[in-house]
Amino acid sequence: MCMKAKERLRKLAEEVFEQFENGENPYIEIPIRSLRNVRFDPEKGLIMMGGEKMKRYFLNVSHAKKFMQTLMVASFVKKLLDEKVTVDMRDLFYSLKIPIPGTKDNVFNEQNESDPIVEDLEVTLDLLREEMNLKADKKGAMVGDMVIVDGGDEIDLRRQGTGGWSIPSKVEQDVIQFKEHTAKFVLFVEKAAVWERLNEDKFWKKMDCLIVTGKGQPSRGIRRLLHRMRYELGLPVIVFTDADPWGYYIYSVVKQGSINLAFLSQKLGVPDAKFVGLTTQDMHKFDIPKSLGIKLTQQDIKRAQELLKYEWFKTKEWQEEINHMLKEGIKFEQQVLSNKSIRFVSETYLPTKLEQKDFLP
Amino acid sequence: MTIAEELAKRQKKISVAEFFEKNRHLLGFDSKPKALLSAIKEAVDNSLDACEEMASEIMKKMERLKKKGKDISKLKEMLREILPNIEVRVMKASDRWEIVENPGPEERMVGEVYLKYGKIVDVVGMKLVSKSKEQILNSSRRALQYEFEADGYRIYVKREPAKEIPFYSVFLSSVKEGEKTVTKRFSLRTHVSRYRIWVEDNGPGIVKEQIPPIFGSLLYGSKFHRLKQARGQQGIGISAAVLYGQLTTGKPARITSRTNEKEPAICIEVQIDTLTNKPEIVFEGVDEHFKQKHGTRVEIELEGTYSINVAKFLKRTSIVNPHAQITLITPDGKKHVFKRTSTKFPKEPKEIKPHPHGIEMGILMRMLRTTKSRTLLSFLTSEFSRVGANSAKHILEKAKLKPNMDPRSLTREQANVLIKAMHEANLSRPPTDCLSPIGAEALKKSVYAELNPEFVVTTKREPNVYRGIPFQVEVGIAYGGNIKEGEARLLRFANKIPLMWDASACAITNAVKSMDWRRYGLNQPGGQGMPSGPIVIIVHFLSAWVPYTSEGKTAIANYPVIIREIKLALQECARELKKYLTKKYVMERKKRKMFIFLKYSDFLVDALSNLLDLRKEEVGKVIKKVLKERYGDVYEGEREVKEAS
Repeated sequence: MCMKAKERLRKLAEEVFEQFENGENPYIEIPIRSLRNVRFDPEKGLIMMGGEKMKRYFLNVSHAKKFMQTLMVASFVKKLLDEKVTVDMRDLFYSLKIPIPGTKDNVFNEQNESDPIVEDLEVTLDLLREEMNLKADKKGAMVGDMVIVDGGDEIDLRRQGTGGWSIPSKVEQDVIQFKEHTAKFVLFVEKAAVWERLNEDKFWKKMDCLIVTGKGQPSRGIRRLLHRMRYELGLPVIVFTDADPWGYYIYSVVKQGSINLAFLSQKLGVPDAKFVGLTTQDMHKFDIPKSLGIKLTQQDIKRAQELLKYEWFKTKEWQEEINHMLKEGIKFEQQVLSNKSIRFVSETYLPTKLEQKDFLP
Repeated sequence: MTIAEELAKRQKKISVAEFFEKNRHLLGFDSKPKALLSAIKEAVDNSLDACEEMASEIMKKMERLKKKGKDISKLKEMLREILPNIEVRVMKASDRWEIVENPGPEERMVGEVYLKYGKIVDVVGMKLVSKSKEQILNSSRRALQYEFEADGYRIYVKREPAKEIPFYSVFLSSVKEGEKTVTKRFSLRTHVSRYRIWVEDNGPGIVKEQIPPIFGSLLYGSKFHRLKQARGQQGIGISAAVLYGQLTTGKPARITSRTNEKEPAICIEVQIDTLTNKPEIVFEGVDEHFKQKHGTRVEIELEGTYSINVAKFLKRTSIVNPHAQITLITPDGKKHVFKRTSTKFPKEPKEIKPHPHGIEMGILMRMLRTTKSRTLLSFLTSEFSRVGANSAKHILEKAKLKPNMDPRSLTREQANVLIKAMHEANLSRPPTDCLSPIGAEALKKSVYAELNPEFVVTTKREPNVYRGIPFQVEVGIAYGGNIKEGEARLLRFANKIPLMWDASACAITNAVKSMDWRRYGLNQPGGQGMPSGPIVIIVHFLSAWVPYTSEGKTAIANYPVIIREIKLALQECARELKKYLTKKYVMERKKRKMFIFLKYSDFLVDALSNLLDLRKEEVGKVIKKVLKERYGDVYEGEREVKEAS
């Protein structure tokens, strides 16, 4: 794998250098990572990247810095591969926060400049960042009826206390192996607080499942892990988020992939994932007073309207739910269920919905 | 009616002093700053004119000798020597201290000590005791004690160094009153708003007999109603400054002049008898120290205020008189030199006869009265330009006047009919070769020298005619360099004289303001008014007769043809400026681009050499070559700048 990455980096540099030698204005061709260049593949149920590419020129005032940054990151990655070390995105940023002589500028000033350049390189070279010895920040936890091997250490996910096993950024086969399990499905929970409640109530034991939280939008590591559990272990993935446009989008990212990382959808997506809740329609089913809802903000409404237009939200059920939310003009947080009783979520809400298979597609 | 005529008419009835008081505003002496500047202006005008007149005499002589095939090297030498070198000094009259008994309303003047920066420069009316006058004057020390004897007193002067302004206490000692010795204290009185102006030139000098009438009589040597491009035009002249000084300080003007190297300079102090308008000689003598081989120095003490306008005025004078070198020594001793940028005298303007289209009633009447012609027909053909026998007959037919009429016998009504016929007559334009422009190249050189800009464009229009009077416009625009940002500055000139006041009434200002400067790449809020940017606009209007809006001679009248000519000249310059700015902009953009690529290229070299396992030099050479190929014209300099920083 290391050789493949090195070769591709070298090829990129050779192409650039050759253009310089020919006296041309050198450029790098980079697939476009925006809504413009993604499409929803209904067959696969995934957001896939299109074929559009942009050319990043050196001798173009608005491209020059990014061109230089791209090659600086490429060069940095080569050093990582040469030295066989792995660093995280923040390390990369600090390593390349180099002052540019004669200016107040740096090669990179903020991490939000260097992160997209890494993504550019990933799509350009068709390499995962993990293959370039880069790792993302880890966030997210998992517990349940399963034993895994993580970096050679055997870990029993039934005995992880209140915090759970924290999911590393690299979850490929060479780092994480699944050993034994009795779980029947995986429940992905948006909010860490709700996940903690489920863990405390030993929900996973009762329902025979694995519970995972992403603490908001799930990282690539978590999504990759969900993907692996779905396809290597055959476990269905069920998603539990807030009843608001942002929660719904988290679901769609787990299911169909994201626009930004569309090129990775095949490796990260779980197209047959199901959505258990929360929905705004649950207010009727579980008799949740409307007064517990939060009024939709302008942004919420705008985002909801965008969701309505996304190809992958165009099922009857989702259109109904989103329109219902817009009609009522409210959203609910997962914790709203605590209003009934503290254990309502683990003892009544989830068991009822799971049993009735009351899912959104 | 011009002031000159007015003066001439009225001076019989009232004293010139009275007239002056009433007409200060017309003469340029209505405020203290203006008064000081007007006095300098008159003196400098005279100096420039004197040098130019002599130069033209020499040149005529050279022509004659050349034709005869004789040696003219000596005359050439003379011509070089007469290139105007004018030194203007403005001294605070407070530098001149009067010794007065202190305190007291009835101060008794016992003598004068002239001090400058703590150094005594002259002593008048006192007998020196401790040292000789030479010793004192040659002493370089500032804080000395001096002793004088005056009016039976023995006086010594001591500087009191503690005071911020040099202040001198004068002590009177050893006054003998009978047998007793009494010590009395005196102090020096200053005049804060009094200045002494001093203008010295290397011109031909003025013969002794001419000095009193020129300086001591209002309206001597009349330039009026000569149709010739001239500085003064209406000739109220230097004597007004003399009179002003006399009225405000009571001091006569001092004129020092030498016409011949072999003779000493004569020194005359002259004032004007305000009742008779006759010069009065107060003092007559010789000045052994006059440094010019030939030339004149005028000194006038007057009430005034020194302002930056003096320096501005002289600087501008120097711009339109590139052949002159003007030095200014300000009251605080600073020296400004406005350098000569040309060693060529301007062509001498020719006097022309008036053209019938531009004649005015008052002038016509006067001409009719004073002509030597015996008939109207010959009056028309000999006193006017572009009038032949045929057109003269035609005019007279139209006016229904007999050609053989005596011009002196015309009534006012008849003259009225005549002037109408003259204005309507179909005549060719007046001759325009009578004007003497500075020339686009000389003006450009001069502007570069005085304003130190980054870029200058100048142009000269062909002469045109307003109301039968020829005129011409020269324009320059200077950009960048030492010129400050902000609203553009407009320098107006008429017949080589800077116009300092009344900008808003002037045709030049109106022409500049009515142009759309945005079309030429400059900022101009609202598309009218003065443009902004680091710009100086120079407009020189020259004419055989400048149509001033008022007798104050501060603004040019708004004739459409004049405005049009100025605008055309401005547009011509503005087009060139735009070309320059566009080119500059393109180059700067290219430079900025280049700089961006350059600052990133070092990182590219690092990255590529690491990725390709090549030596940095190898990669650097390739990248440098590409940049050089594409940005060769801006590459080298930028690289140096970058390396230096």
